[in-house]
Amino acid sequence: MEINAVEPAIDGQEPAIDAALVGAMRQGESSALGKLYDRYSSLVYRLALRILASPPEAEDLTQEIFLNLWHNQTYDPRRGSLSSYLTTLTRSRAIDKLRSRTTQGKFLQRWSQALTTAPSPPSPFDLASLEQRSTEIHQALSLLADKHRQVLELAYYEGLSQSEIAARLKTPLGTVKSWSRQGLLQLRKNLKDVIS
Amino acid sequence: MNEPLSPRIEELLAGYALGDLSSEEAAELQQILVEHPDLEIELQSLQEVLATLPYALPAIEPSPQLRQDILASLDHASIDRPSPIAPVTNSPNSNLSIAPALPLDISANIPPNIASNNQPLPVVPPVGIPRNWSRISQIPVPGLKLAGGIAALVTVALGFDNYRLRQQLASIQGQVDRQKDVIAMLQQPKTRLVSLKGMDDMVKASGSIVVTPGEPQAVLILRNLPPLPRGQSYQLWNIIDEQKIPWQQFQVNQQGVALTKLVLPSSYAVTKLAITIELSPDPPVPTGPMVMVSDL
Repeated sequence: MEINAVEPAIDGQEPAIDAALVGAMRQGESSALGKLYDRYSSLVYRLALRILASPPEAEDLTQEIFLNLWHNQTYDPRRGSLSSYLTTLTRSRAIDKLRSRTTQGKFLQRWSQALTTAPSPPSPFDLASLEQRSTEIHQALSLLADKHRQVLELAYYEGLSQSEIAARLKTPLGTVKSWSRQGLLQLRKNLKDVIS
Repeated sequence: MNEPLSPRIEELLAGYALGDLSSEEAAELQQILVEHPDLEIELQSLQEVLATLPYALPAIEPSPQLRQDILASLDHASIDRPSPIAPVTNSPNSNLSIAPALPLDISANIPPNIASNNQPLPVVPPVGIPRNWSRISQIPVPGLKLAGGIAALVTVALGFDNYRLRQQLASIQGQVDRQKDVIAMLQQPKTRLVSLKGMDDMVKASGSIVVTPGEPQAVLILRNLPPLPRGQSYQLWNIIDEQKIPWQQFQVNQQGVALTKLVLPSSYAVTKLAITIELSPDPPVPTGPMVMVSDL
């Protein structure tokens, strides 16, 4: 395939471009990985940096994630978007590293239990550019109650369990669970126009 | 799902996505999923929502070197994973086809992949390589005792490795020197940035011009611009009183990055800029498509 034909990206073709690039990469075409890197390295790196708080470690992890994408063909488009695969993988690896620093053992990848469903048509969110996505998510998060957003971020970026969050916030466990669940559901409502 | 979900089911699904279900809740949800397998779509959507959180983080990029490192390591690993299609390599001459518009241009694109395996073999052994380098490499191994043959091969290998290392070092040194220059400019107290953003189908392109008042130079740093076919160049325009004055042409490297020094005439006030793609090496007025404009 002609990789250059799909670059630069045009809004509305994002999933098709990802699919084409993943296909070319699996044919052994390293330039396709380069293109995927251009599309998602910023997202992977900012997440790694947020969790690890160390630019060298975040770069190491970014490298690990993209080499993993190249060597292990574990991404399955039927299970969701490439961006969600990459952030899920990055998050779980980053929190593993965070945990190994504090010798708390391996983080259980509780949030990425595999769910295989029929392929769904691309949502408007899939079709948006990185910049548009950032704006949308930022706005949707800003509409959450502070406590809802706080517990979601503590769980997501620091890998804290609900009881750890409860202890940190000196709040009953049941309340913390309710906040995080309500927060997630509200976030989905806020994003309902962009994520089907 | 045509009917709205009950708050209880929604809460269980959210708890599952968050990984905080108690064992009783997990059993309850499992039972519900057996009866309503289509709820798995709901679960997937909640997981996708969670996976979007990083988009809200401040935009920040890893160093440009990282991309090169990753792709270089693929080249090294290609023995394990043969490529049916030859990988794209940096063409050392691709940026030399257009003469710079201004004579004092000392621009340089970020050097090509320094760790690449594609460096040519040395035609003349460089200083420091044993003088018998070329002779040893031509000695037929069967003519030597086995140990001697191995030693010779090791010598050649080490010599070549040293050569490679020196080449890499020189390349890195050149890069560091250029970056020092840029860093020195950035450290000036009066330095300011004029941002540029991509237009239309080059919307991902971004970058800045670094200008220090009183300094005769500026630095152009751009990324995510596609490399152009031979014969075309990017042209930077300074717009003064709505008049587009050609400033300088430049190319980007294979990674889509331009890091170019610009001569800054003292008469220039840098407020409004545009970048077009031009065929002519010295166009008096823009003729090609405009791909980037300043943010102001």
